[in-house]
Amino acid sequence: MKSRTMRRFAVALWLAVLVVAIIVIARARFTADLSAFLPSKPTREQALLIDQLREGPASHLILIAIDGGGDVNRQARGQPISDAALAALSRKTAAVLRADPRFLSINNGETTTATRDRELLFNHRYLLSDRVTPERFTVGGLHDALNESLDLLSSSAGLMLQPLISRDPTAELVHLVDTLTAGRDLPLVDGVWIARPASLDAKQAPHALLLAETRAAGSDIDAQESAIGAVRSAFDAATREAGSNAESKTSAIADASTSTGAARLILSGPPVFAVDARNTIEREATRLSLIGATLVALLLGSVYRSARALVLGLLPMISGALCGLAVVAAGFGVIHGITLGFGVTLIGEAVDYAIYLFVQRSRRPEGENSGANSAADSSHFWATIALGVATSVIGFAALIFSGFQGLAQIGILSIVGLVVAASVTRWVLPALMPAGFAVRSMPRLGAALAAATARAASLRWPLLALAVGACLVLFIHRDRIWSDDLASLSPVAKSDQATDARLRSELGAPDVRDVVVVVALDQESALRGSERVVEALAPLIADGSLAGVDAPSRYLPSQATQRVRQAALPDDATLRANFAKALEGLPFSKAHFDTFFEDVIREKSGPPVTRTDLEGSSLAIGTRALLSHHEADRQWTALVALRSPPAQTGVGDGMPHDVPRARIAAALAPLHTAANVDAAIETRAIDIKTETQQLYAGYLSEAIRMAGLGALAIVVLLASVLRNAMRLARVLVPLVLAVVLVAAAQVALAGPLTLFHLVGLLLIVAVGSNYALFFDRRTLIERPVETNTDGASDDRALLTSLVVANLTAVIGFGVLGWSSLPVLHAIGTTVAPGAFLALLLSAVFAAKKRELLSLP
Amino acid sequence: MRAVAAFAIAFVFVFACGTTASYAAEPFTAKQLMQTLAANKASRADFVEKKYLAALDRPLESSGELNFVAPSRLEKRTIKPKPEVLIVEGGTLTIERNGTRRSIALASFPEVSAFTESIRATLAGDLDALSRDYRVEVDGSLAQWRLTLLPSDPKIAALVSRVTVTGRDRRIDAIEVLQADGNRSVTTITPTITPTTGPTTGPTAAPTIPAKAGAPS
Repeated sequence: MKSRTMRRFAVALWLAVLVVAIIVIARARFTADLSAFLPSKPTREQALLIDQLREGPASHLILIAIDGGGDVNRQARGQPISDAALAALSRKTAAVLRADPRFLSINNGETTTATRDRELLFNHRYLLSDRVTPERFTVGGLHDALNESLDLLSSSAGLMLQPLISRDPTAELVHLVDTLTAGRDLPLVDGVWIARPASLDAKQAPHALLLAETRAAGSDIDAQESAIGAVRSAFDAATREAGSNAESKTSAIADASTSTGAARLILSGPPVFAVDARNTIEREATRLSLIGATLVALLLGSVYRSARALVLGLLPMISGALCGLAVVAAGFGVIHGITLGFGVTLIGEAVDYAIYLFVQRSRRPEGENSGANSAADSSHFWATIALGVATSVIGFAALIFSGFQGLAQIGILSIVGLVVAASVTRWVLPALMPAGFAVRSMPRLGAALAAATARAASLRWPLLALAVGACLVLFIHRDRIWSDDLASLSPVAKSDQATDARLRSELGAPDVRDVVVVVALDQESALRGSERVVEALAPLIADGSLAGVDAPSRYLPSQATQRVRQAALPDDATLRANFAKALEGLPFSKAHFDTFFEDVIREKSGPPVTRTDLEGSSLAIGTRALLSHHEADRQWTALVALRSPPAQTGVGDGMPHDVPRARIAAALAPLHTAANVDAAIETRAIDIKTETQQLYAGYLSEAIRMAGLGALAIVVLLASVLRNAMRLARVLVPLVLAVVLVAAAQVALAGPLTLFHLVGLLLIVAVGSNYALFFDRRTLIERPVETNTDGASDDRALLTSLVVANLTAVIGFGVLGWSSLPVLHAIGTTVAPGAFLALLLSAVFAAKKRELLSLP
Repeated sequence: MRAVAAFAIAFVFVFACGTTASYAAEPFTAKQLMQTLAANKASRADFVEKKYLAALDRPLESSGELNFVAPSRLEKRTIKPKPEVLIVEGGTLTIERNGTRRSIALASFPEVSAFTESIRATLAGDLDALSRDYRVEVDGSLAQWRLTLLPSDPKIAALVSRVTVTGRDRRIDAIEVLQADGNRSVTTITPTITPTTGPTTGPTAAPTIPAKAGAPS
C-alpha cells in the first residue's frame, strides 16, 4: 500500500512539475542574440567592445546595395543596367523608406538635410567652429582670415561664400562644411552613391549603396526583421515602378537605360545577420528536432513494435527537455534559440534510461519479480544509472562555467534535463507501466551481439594502433589543433562576412577596427572626453599617421567648449575696432559688415547649442552614431573612430595602413595622469580585431581548463565509486580513446577545433561513460551467474538495450551534424561518431571472462 | 559609425570654346546657333575671369585653362592666383583644391545644376536642355552673336539674373554671369587648339589634342 501511495505521489508531483514547466516556457522570451555566444566577463576593453556589438549605434545600421548586374552571371541575368537606372532605383527606394517611421535615417548620398544643415551650421558657426579662439579676433587674426577669404572668393569654390561674405567674412561656414565632410567622399552618380568595381577582373557589378538606420535597437530582432521587410518591399516597389516606366517608353534608349530587371538587392549589417541567424536557428531547431525525434521514434517503434513502449520511452526525454527549458527560462530570463535546438540532443541520452528500464523489467518473467536477487539487481541497475547521470552532470557542469551565456544555458538544460529524465524513469515510469509490461525481446539480435562482444577483444590491438596513429596526427597538428579565429564560431556564413566587409569599405566605413571609447556619467562629460581625445590625437593627424578621426564632439561640442568660444568672441566695440584695422590694405568695402557684428554678438550672448537643436540635420545622425546612452548602467559612451592613413598609391591593393597603436596609446596617456584625470570620464583605445581575437583565445584556454577540471572530476567520481584501479582503467580507456580518435579525425579532415568541438568532446565523455559503466556492471553481474542460462539472456538483453540506446544517441547528435550553425554542426559531428566509438571501445576493452577470474 | 553630411560646396563657371568657321548665315536663330555649337566635340582654351563683388572695391582676377569634351565633360583648371581643378562630368561636380577633393551631386542642387547646364548645354549646343531652365534669346549674326539666358524657374532666378554668352561662329569669346545679388563675373576666353569636330567623333571619346594650333583667324 505504501509503495502505491508513493507511486501516486510521484506521478502527481511529476504532472504538477510538468504543468509549471509548460507555463514557464509558454511565458518565456526567446532570443537569437548571437552575442550570447560571445564570452562575458571579459576585460574592461572587451566589455566595452561587446557592449558596442550588442547595443552600439552600429548594431542598427542596415547596409543596402542595389546591384546592377554585370560580370556575375551575365548570361543568366541579362544586360547590366545603367548607372542612371541604378541611381533612380536608389532614390525611389530611399524615398519610400524615409517616409517609414521604422527608420531614423536613410542615407544614399542624396543631401536631403542640406538646407537644415546649412541653416544650423550658419546660425551657430561661432559656437561650432574650432577656429574660434581669442587670437582669431585680434587685428592680425582677422586680417589673415580676410586674406584667406579673398583667395576663396576668387576660386570656383568661393561662390558659396560670395553671398555670405558680409555676414561671414572669416568664412567660418565654409570651414565647418570642409571639416564635417572630410573623408566622406563616396563616388556619386546622379546624386547618389554608386560604387564600381576597383578593377576589371573584380567579380562585382556597379551598385548603388544605401545606409539605413533603424529606430529600434539592434537587439530588438522582431523590429529589425520588420525593418528589413520594409527595405525589401520598398525596393520591389521601386523596381516595379521603373519596370512599368520602361515599358511605357517607346524609344530604344529607354530599354537600355531604364531596364531594372537585372537589379538585385543585397542586404548586410548586424540587423540582417541577427535576423538571418534567428531564422536559421528557428528553422534548424524545428527541422532537426523533428527529424531526430522521428528517426528515434522509428527506431524504437521498429525495435519494440509497441506504441505504448514508444510513448513511455519518450516520456522521460520530453519531461527532461521541458523542465530543462523551464529552468533556463527562469534562470536567464530568456531562452536562446540554440539552447532550444540543443534540446534535441537530450533525445540521444535521456531515451537511454527508459530503454535500460524496459529491458531490465522485461527480463523478469511473470511472478518471479519479488526475489531478493532481483531486488539487489534492481538497486545495482539504478546505481549504475545514477553514476552515469552524475558523470554526465559533471561533464555538462563545465559548460556552465565556460563564460558563454549560450553555452551555460546548454549546460543547465542538459543537467536539469538528464536529472529529470532519470528521475522520471526511476519513479514515474514504473508506475505507468502496466503489470506484465514487457518489450519484445530480440533473442537473435542479442545472441549475435553477445557473440560479437565475445570476439570484440580481438580488436584491441588494431584499435590501439589506430589510437597511436591518432595521437601522431594530433602531434603533427599540435600548433593547429585549436582555431584562433572567432569568425569560426559565427553563425554568419563566410561569404556573407566577405560581402559585409566589401560594402563597409565601399561606404567608407572600413576603419571601425580602431576606436577610442570614452565612458562617462553624463552626456556633457562624454563630449568633453571626446574633445580631449581629438585634441590628443591632433598631432598624429597633422603628421599623417592618422587620416582623421570621427568624434561626436565634431557635431556637438561640449557646453564647456562652447562657453570657451563665447568667451573668445570680443565685445561689439572691440570687434568693430579690430575689424576696421584688419581691413586696411584689403579690397573690401568697409560699409558692408554690420550683420557680421550682429551675428557675433548674438552668438556670444546666446544659449549654447544642445542636442535638441540638431534634430532633423545630418549632425544629429552623426551625433547619434557616436554618442549613446546605456539605460542599464546609466552611462554615456562616446566613440572616437580612427581613420587609418590610405596606402601609397600603386602600392598593394589599396588596403589602408594600420594605425600606429603605440603612438596613439602614448598620445592618450596624459589623459590618464593624475593632473588630468576626471573621475567622470574613462578613456580606452580599442583595436577591435586584436581585442576580439584575444577575447576568444582567452576564453578558449579558459574553456579547455574547465574541461580538464571536469574530466578530472569525472575520474575522481568514478574512482571513488568503483574503488578499483583496473575497473577504473577499463571505464576510462574507451572514453579517452574515443575522444582522441574523434579529435584526430576532426583535425585531419575538418581543420582546427573550435570551442564548440571542445564541448562536443566533453559530451562524448558524458554520454560514453554510460556505456563504459554498463560494460563494467556487466562483468559484475556476469561473474556469479556464469553458468546460468537466465544470466546469459539478461546479458543479451542488456547488450541489445545498449546498442539501441547508442543508436538513438548517434541519430540524435548525428542529425545536428547537418546543421549550418557552427555550434550545432561541431557538436553533432563530434558526438555522433564519438558516442559510437565509446560503445565499441567499451565492448572491446571490457574484461574477458578469463581475465575476470583473475580479478581479486 | 557613420555620419554623413554632404553640402553644396560650389557653383560653376565653366565653358569652352569653338573655333572660327566661315558661315555667313541670315536670318539668325537660337536653333541655328546651337546646331553650329553642337559640332564642337572637344576643345581647349585659356580663360581670364574677373569677379565684380559688391563687398569689394576692385575685381578679383583668376586665370587658367578650360577643357570641354562633348557632351558632358567640363574641366576648369585655375592656375592663378591659387591652383584649383573643377570638373563637371555627368551628374557630378568635383573640386580639387588645397590638396583635398570634393564631389557633389548636381541632382541634389537644382540651382547649381541649372547654372552648370547654362554653360554646358551652350557648349554642347543642346537647346532642349537650355530651354528647360531658361528663356533663350539670340541676337546678332553667326559672325558676331550674343546668347542671353534668362532663368524661368524662380528658384534659379533668385540666384542668377542673366547669363550672356558672346561669340563668333563656333567660337565663344566671353561669358558674363549677372547674379541676383548684383555680383557679376566676366570670363574672356582664348582658344588654344583647334577643336576636334564632326559627327564621326563619339560622344564620350577623349579629346585628341594636336600640337598647339595657331591662333584663330
